[in-house]
Amino acid sequence: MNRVATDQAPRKHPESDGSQGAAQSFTERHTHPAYDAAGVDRSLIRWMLGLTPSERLQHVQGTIDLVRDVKRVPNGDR
Amino acid sequence: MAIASILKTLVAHDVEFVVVGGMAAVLHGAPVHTIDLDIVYALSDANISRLELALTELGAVFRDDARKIVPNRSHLQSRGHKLLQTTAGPLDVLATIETNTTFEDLLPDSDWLEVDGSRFRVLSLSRLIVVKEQLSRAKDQAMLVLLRATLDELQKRRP
Repeated sequence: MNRVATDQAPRKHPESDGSQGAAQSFTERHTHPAYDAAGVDRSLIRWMLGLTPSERLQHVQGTIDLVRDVKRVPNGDR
Repeated sequence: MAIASILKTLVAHDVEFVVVGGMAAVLHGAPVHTIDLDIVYALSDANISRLELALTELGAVFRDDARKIVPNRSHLQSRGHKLLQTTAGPLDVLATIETNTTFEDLLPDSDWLEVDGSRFRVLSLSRLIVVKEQLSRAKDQAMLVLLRATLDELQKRRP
């Protein structure tokens, strides 16, 4: 069973110090805190930073299109 | 893609502009949601002519006016914000931001990005943070937290 080492100082994100993420275990690579002290989901930021500007724009456009196209389903049709 | 097509049209007409606001944040990787595109444009006569042509191609009209007024040269020469609706989506055309910051003022703080083969300037993330720090609206303060966190993540990635 994977165990999170809560009694140690938080590890740096693998990309923060130039070390190779592949050398770390899955648990070590994926258990850095997602939310920071301000409540920001850092994992979402890291995901966005992994995209190209075109892909970021496509993501936003996809959300806009979804909201534009979504329709309320009448009670009788549920 | 609607937002990209607005950018592509502006670039195709050689309009000098810099993307600011929420879409600039998105392009830099901040996880914010916005539906309009904000640009600050150069106020030179030649650029206003190019912008006018681009807006015509995009079918731009003032967004909050039932008369569907088409922005003209006089509107574009003014320092106010022109909040437009185009066939490809909302487009805010800004002569200045902050108190009186122009396109030329923003140039040193802009980055070149490319989307679908079109290259254009986008306000840098650090400058975007400075802009938002001056605004007290709740939505700007909320975005500020995300922008700072994004800049922090970017700095961690740099060697």
